Amino acid sequence: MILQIEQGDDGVTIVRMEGRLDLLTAADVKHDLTDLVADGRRRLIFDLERVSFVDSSGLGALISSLKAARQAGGDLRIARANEQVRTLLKLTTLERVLRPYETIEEARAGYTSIAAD
Amino acid sequence: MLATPRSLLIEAQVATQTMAEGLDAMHHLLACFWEDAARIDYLPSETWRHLFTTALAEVVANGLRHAYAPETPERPLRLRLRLFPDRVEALLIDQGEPYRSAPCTTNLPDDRVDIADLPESGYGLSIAYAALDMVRYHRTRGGYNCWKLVKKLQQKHKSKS
Repeated sequence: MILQIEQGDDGVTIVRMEGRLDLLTAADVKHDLTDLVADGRRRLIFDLERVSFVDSSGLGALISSLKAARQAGGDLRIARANEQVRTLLKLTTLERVLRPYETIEEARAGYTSIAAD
Repeated sequence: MLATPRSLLIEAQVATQTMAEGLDAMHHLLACFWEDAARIDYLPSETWRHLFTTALAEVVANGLRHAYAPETPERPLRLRLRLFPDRVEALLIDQGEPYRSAPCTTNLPDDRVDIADLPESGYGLSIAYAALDMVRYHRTRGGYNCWKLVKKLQQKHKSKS
């Protein structure tokens, strides 16, 4: 499983993956995302457009990476999540900490306003 | 108008060698099941299907991960899905070790919990309990782990005739 990493000029890093974020892939995703934070890329957007399914392990990886990013003074935002992911976030009440942004631009806009503060 | 089905049954038995094969088999079987349900005009709503699929995936993953020792060469898994006029039932049977106590579950987070205090694992069965109407585990006399999952259908399907 390979994550695609795209570093923007504004200091926001967009991460993309394809397939299921589940029991089989969650540990690798968590490892790669926390490595990014440790490398100083603390403002992350995880583009879920091509992620077909997320389970509790995947959710755990997102929570863990979110914590790492927040501790480093940044954030992890998710964008373009499908209905299954949104249903899972709603069921677990985690949508309040992992708000699903409709678009990459919307997630990035929030970062821009933070940077301007 | 289509008649209310007595039931729609789909079943698969897979002798998976890896957890990936087990999860792939589950997703494939569910896709076939929803196709069949759509064919008889009995497809539950998208949100309903997501809740059911998410819960089933948690129980399947739990079985594949905890019932069999890591070095187990095969992880036989039998999955049966059945659509009734008022509910969908899943029966999941594996030949792994029995659960000696109730599987560990982490409560779904209270909406006031700080991010730093959020657990990072253990949500699986809590998700299944929250998404379904019934989750029941028992160890059969023949030495199988058996999970029965039930989710009721919405009113519009119940009243259909």
